[in-house]
Amino acid sequence: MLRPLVAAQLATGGFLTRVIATLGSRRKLTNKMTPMPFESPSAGTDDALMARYAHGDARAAQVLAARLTPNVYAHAMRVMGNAAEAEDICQEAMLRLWKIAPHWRAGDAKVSTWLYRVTANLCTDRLRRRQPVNLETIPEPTDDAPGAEEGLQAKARASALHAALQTLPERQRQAIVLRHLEGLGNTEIAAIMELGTRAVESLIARGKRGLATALNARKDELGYKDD
Amino acid sequence: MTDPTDDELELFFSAARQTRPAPPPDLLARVEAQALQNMPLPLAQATPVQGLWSHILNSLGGWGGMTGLTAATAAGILLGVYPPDFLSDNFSVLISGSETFFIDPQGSFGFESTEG
Repeated sequence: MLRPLVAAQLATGGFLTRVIATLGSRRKLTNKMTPMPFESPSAGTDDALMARYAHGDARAAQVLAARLTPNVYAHAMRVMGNAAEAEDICQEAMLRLWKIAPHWRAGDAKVSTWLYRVTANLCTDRLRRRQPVNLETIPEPTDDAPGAEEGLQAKARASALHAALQTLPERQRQAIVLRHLEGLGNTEIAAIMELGTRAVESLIARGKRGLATALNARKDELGYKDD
Repeated sequence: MTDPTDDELELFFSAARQTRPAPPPDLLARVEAQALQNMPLPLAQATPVQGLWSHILNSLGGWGGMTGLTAATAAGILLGVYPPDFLSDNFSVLISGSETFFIDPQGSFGFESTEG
């Protein structure tokens, strides 16, 4: 009964989060951590690693960090469009993961789903404090590395998409990033965004229409043809 | 002009998937440091549940204490059953119970000398 409550509190950043942070045992360990193939089956499932971390296994922490941080960062970066904010969100999300570990109950939810939800909520909090963003004001990532024309065009498309994403309403942006860039299914996105699958489908459809409109102005430059 | 179709949008999604933002190395280091800083204490080694016999044995000083206690008990029984000759007559009477044996705890001890 208590564990789901604690998990929900950590996911949403509630009062209990601070209580747990205060009461949680802290200890600096000097374990020498050895390299481990993070994606190998022998490294263990996320649930198993959470349990090992909760029992003081420093190597489990290393594996979890290496496995999950890239997902969290990419998600935050694509939604926020700002590296500094993405780093802050990533650190905060991972901190909540470490704090929930002793209360984690394997099988209730996927660790990655829970972490996407935390990240999505942190992004939402930040975006709601921001002013609306104008597409023209968003700096596009630059890359001076030489490459084939197709490669350059792919980079230009990626940059244009990231800029166009920033013009979408926050929920549509989250849904598009999770579905089309992180490659998650609608059911998992529904769990992350705490919506029904119909609502997710609607958000994605509206988001794609918004993207299409934003990208339409640059179609000649970006190499796709008019019908 | 028409908006991009789903297929055309997929070109953008595909390009964006290929250029996934990677976390800076120092971010990963910070996350790992944070993990160690917040890591719960390792659980203490579970101590096996002690049975009654183990509890008694330990309270008597383990097997060493138990051996001494057994030896002392055996010696006491032996002395009782076969009292050696050098023991006093009073002691023999006390053990046999054939006569009343009176012991005055004060005797002739000079308690008065210790009083103020």
